[in-house]
Amino acid sequence: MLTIANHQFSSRLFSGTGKFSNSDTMLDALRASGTELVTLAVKRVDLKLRTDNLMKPLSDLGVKLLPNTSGARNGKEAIFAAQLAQEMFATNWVKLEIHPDPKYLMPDPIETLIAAEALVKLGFVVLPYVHADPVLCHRLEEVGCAAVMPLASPIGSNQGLLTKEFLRIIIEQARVPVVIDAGIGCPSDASAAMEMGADAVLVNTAIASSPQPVAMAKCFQQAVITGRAAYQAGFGQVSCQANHTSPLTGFLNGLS
Amino acid sequence: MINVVVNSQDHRVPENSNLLMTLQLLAESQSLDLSNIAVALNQHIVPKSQWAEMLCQHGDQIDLFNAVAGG
Amino acid sequence: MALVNNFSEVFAAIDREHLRLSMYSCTAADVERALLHPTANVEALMALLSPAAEPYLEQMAQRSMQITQKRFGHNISLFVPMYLSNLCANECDYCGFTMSNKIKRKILNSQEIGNEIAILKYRGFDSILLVSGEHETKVGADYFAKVVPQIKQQFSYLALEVQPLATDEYTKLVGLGLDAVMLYQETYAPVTYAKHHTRGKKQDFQYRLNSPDRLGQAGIDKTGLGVLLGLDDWRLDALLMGYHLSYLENRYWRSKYSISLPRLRPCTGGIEPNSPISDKGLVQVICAFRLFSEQLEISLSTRERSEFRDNLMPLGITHMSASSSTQPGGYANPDTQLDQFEISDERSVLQVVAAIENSGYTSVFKDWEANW
Repeated sequence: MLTIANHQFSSRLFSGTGKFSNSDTMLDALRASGTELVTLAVKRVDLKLRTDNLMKPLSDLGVKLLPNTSGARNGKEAIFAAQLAQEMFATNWVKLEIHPDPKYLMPDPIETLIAAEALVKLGFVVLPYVHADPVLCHRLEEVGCAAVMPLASPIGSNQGLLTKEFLRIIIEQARVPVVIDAGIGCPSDASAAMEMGADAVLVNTAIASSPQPVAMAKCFQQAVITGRAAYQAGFGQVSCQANHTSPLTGFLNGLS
Repeated sequence: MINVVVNSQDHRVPENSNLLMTLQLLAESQSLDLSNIAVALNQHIVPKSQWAEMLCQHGDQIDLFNAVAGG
Repeated sequence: MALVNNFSEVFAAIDREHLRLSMYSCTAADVERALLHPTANVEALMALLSPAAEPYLEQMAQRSMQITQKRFGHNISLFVPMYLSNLCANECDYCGFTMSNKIKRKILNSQEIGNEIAILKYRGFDSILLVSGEHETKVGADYFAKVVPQIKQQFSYLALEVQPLATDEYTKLVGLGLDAVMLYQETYAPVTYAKHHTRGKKQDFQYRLNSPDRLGQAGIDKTGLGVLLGLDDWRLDALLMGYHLSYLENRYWRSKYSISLPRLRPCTGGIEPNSPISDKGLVQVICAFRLFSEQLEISLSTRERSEFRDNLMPLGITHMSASSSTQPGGYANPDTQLDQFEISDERSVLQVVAAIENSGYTSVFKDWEANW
């Protein structure tokens, strides 16, 4: 069971709702994945377009909704987006996502830390999306974030665990759950992330842009379960080899 | 009638309309679903419970937000 | 790791007896598994400290040397203790300063401190460890607040090894330039602790235990832990120190950590160690801790014999003292015979530096200069 803030999850696969070809496919894929938490964005209503109301079918699925602040370019906008989301979703959970860089969508660490502290003080349960920076994750924990969400590789790139070594450090040092988010491209990436000891992974593009999202969603479900079970079972590994130089402890022979 | 700007578009509503009435008018004319939206009046978020109390003034900027798919 | 207030809460949850039994039932297989993944792994530390690890000592030593060199290079940092006072309001049966000992008590004044400083500077030292007995009123936070600036003006790195202080007192001293505090729990066995500390504030086991928490909160650069090996079961004490270290490294991640491994030695009115630790045992503890923590500083004092110190140098030690005096004013006036503990390595600084170089290492007197 994964606990974040006061909520328990039996699935460690979180999912995004973006990039699906239509809402029916999206809902089928989410159902197939077994996910219990999905992210949504907040946008100004396009009055000319008739868009589907996502909230009802998603709440029918029984998943927890996690609004993100995607679109915010700085802390101030992110805080505003979080408050809008709180109004809209009647939840105080927020995925803090600030990317001023529209090309690679890299998160702004400084605005994120400032906004995280402000949002925690306003009573939000904050899950910040950041680069895999171990010290930044420490700082976010210190200001009261409920989890940290370091990236594996750029959003939507499907490049897998490019930041693997830094994720390992974050997992080793974190005192809150670590959700690896962004760039997970295939089920084996998700499995590898769980084998490293991540508490959960968030996957969006890899499922949504697969030619068969529902099948892919099932694969991700299995990969996350397997990876976590393997982590808990424990690994044997290649043993290190010691250098055969002259003995260091020979002086102890004949001593007490 | 007064003029309010909703999501950057001009709309005319009766004087002394409150926010709730304004939104209901929009809901009808634009086939807008009022459940699960958030509203900001002149860049300040107005909780749903206060919509009926906020009076709209000429030139007010109203922004409507809803949930969309995203990662 | 759950969020707790201080180490006392973690310590209270540890089942000592269960831990001890587990350690003594470790097998060769446990040791081999531990050697695969020793870093930051208290279960691995347990196996590496257990009797079952003794046959693996050479392998542990080789790995320890490699890790230490990778992290610290071929460097040994030199520091020296400066005893400010031997006044003590505690009764500790293993220490020459214990209150019932009829010895001449002294507190150094500003001028006497100046004399000590001059000699230590002449010898080339730039890292000083200020030591005193534990006396709250006469040698308390106010006294330290006076002497720290005087001494810090002359040296780059200043550490303190005195009685536990309150968080705000630590914060104040950090503001005055204090870099590190060494505070040894002596033993993590409360019953044994009570047997050896029979009078004075040092009897408060928990207050001492939570001092590193207060230091972390005060933003100290380095915290030094230590146990007096031999007071209680040395393997278990070392392991519990490992638990303490693990908690602190995780929680107060901005601080550096060091450990000291003093072995019970003769002193005035001396006592025999309950659980004596052999030279082999000390080597095992050093190597186990190096495998456990790559960045841990491991300090070796002049309590140990010269040749032994020289042999220990490549095994994971990072800090050593030299030409130490363990009496207040002992550099300017080395005649009096009263040491807190007996010095076994009496070599001069130059001799120790030569020995370090002989081992293929470099002596480092100055590590860092804080300019802001």
